[in-house]
Amino acid sequence: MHRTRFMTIVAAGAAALFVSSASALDKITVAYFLEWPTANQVAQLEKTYDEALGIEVEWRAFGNGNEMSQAMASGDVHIAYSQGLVPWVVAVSNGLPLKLVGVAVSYAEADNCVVHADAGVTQANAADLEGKKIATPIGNVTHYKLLRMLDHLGVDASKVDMVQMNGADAAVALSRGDVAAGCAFGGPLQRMKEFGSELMTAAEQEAIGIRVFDVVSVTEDFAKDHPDLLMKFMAVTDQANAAYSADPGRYQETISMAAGMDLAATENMLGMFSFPSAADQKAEAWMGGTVQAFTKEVADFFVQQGQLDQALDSYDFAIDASFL
Amino acid sequence: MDGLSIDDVSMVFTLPNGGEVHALEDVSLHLKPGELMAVLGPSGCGKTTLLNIIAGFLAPTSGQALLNGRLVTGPHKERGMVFQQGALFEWMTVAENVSFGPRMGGAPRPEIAEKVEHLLGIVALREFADKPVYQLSGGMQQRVALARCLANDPDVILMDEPLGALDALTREKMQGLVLKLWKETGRTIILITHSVEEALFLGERLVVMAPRPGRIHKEYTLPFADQGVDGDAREIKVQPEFISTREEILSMIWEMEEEIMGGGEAG
Amino acid sequence: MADHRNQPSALAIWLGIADNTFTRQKTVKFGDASAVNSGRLWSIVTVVVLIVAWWIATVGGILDPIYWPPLDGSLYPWDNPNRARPGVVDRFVSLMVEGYRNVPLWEHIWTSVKRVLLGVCFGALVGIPLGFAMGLNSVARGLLDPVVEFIRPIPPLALIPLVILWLGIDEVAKTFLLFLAALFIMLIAARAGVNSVRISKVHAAYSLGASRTQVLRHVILPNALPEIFTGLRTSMGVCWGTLVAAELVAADQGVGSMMMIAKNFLQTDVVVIGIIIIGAIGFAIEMLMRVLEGWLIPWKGKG
Repeated sequence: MHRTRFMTIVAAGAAALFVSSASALDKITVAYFLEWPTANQVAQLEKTYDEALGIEVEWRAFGNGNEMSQAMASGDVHIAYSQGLVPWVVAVSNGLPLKLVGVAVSYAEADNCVVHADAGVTQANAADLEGKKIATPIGNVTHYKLLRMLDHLGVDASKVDMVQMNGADAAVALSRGDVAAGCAFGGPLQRMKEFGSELMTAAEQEAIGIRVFDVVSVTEDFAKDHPDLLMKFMAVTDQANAAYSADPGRYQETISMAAGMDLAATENMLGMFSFPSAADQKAEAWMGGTVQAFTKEVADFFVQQGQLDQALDSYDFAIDASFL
Repeated sequence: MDGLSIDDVSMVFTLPNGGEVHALEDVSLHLKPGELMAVLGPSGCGKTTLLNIIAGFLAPTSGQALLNGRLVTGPHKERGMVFQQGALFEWMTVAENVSFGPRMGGAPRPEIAEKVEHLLGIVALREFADKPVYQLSGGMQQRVALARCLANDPDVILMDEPLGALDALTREKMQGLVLKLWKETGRTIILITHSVEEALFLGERLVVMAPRPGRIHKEYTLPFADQGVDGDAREIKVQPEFISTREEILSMIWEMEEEIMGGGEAG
Repeated sequence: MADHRNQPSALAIWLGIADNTFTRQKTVKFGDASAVNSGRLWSIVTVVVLIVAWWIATVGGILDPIYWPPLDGSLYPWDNPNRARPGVVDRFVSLMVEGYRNVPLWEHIWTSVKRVLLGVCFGALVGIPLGFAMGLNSVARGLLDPVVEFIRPIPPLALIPLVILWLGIDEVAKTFLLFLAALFIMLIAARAGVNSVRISKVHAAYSLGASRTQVLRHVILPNALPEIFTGLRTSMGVCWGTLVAAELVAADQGVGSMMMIAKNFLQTDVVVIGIIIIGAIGFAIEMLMRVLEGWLIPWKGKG
């Protein structure tokens, strides 16, 4: 008798769990980064998205862009806001059905590699990094920048001991002197700068053609099934970006709260960010052709570095500005 | 004074609940060198406690044990032990077990080898010297235990039901071996046993103990052990005197058991 | 009556499809665990079915290679030839020949195995004396008991943040995590080994004139060896299980690191190869330890 009841409860519980995970769209989940202040976080915190979309919008923080891809592959996440271009390229090259639907933020200075002061390495003797450890997230924009820089400075990347670490851990490793250099973006990069200096400045990187921006990516299914929701999401984002650009000082405190950073660091980092408008994004400089070309360039570079098995012939099919 | 003396030994265990168990009360005994005494009694009569006191594993609450005039304060190789079973070192070979005492004492190697050879000859295990002990049968293992004990030339050998776990046939053969060793080595032996027949056959002296409190109930001096050294065990065990003494002791122990039952569970 | 003339073949018995002669004469079989034969045929069937299913999924293009890699890339019906990639078999060969991130596969494996061995060795070197001390001395027991009881239930992985802060990201940190995993297993095994010594053996040794040191060296230690070896076996298994996570601390070399980085490049085939390697090596370690146990401690369970 008791056993029967017990089994019934277990079965009902299991069924409930199963059903809840398989139910229809009752909310959308957006992946984002902590310590990465973006203008749309005002709308995130004030629930503007939820009101405009008429559905609950859940924001879930991730450690790196590849984890975002994997979560999207499993169907748990619909939109990745501010996913790095490289994780997106890796995902699409491997056939993951992800669409690039917008440019979230352009930044050159907020993502970089810092050489520990004790390592005594500058651009002039960058080859000394061979045989040393560099902590970096692997398979993302930061990694791409590092490889491009090493390539430019004549360092054999295969001889560098690259250790996969997310930014926060990499900052700890650099502070302890466990690694000669560390690469990160956002808050951890600011902490790293206390212990050393950048290998190349953002301006120097741009001069050799390294572009750094994050994208808005979505699963193909979500774009196909809910184009209206996606367009509204992009519209709210564009309005938030416009509002911020008009009066940055007004919103910085709200953004710092959402990003989980103190105000000074938020201001500092926001100073390095630009949020292109929807109109700009559709233009030639962004999704009108440049993003497509750069994406192919990044993919080919990773293949050449032996990190990616193969690149697609073109990434145009997965880049879609029509939701802007 | 030569020999083993037990003077007014009492042993009281205090239970966790504050109660007391009188395991032994005013037990006194004296064994001359070379005597073989069997100790018999129902469970709870304190015979193992007595042996542990003589071995030096337990300190009595009052009274003392003396060997050749020296106070027993702890275990010593002058008092060897043979346990029921499971006291051999299973990670050693037969020879290593037998040589354990002399090796620990730092005796010279040739002397040890000679002694092991000799003792294994006595217990008829020479062929098995290099076998691990766990490959031996129960009877063979007890022979190893006897040899191991003898290797130290103890003055007194204390046996705690050494044959208790053996089958009847093996047991009878081992009884003969115990007698043989006793005569050949001239050691003082105290043997604890559950078997009345074994006590009668092996005990030159036989002590029957009674429980609650543990004490000496009756003592016998018997001729059978001397006869058994050369005689036929079967013949000795069917002698009228053997049988009548056996019946007397059996009914004595039976009564004690009845008393315990009456005072305890049956009430 | 059992039929003695119609003996099952040795092969049938090995495959577990026929009972051996002794089992055949038992009338009560259900509930008698020793009457359950190996069922080896079904083990073989399971493995074959799994491989065939994998092959069918590959040829039929049933599973997207993102989620589960094809057995052989050339068999998979790629809808976009651009996406065609090698399968698990080819990838394995290339990992052996060319390696992953410039490091040959066997070196990744050796790095991982070395970490486990170091962790277990240090765990044993520290844990066994501490376990002995706790089993033999009340001061040691009192001093260590609260520490042991508090730290033991904490999974080593929960300590990763502290370990990075204290020890950094090098071999020391990873080995330390494995050391912690092994330490308490070894400590408890050694303590149990001491506790398991039969008092009559200790008494016998003292009666034979052994000193305290000699009792420790010749009785308590060998008596505890079977338990210690069981501890070694368990900690090998647990450390091997902890390893992958420990290597995530800062992935550079090792099977776990390889999988972690492959994951970032969505190289599911490398991940799957990593999983198979981890399973196979874990199994090999267990088998090796069993053989060693029979060889080193033949008296186990025979006291």
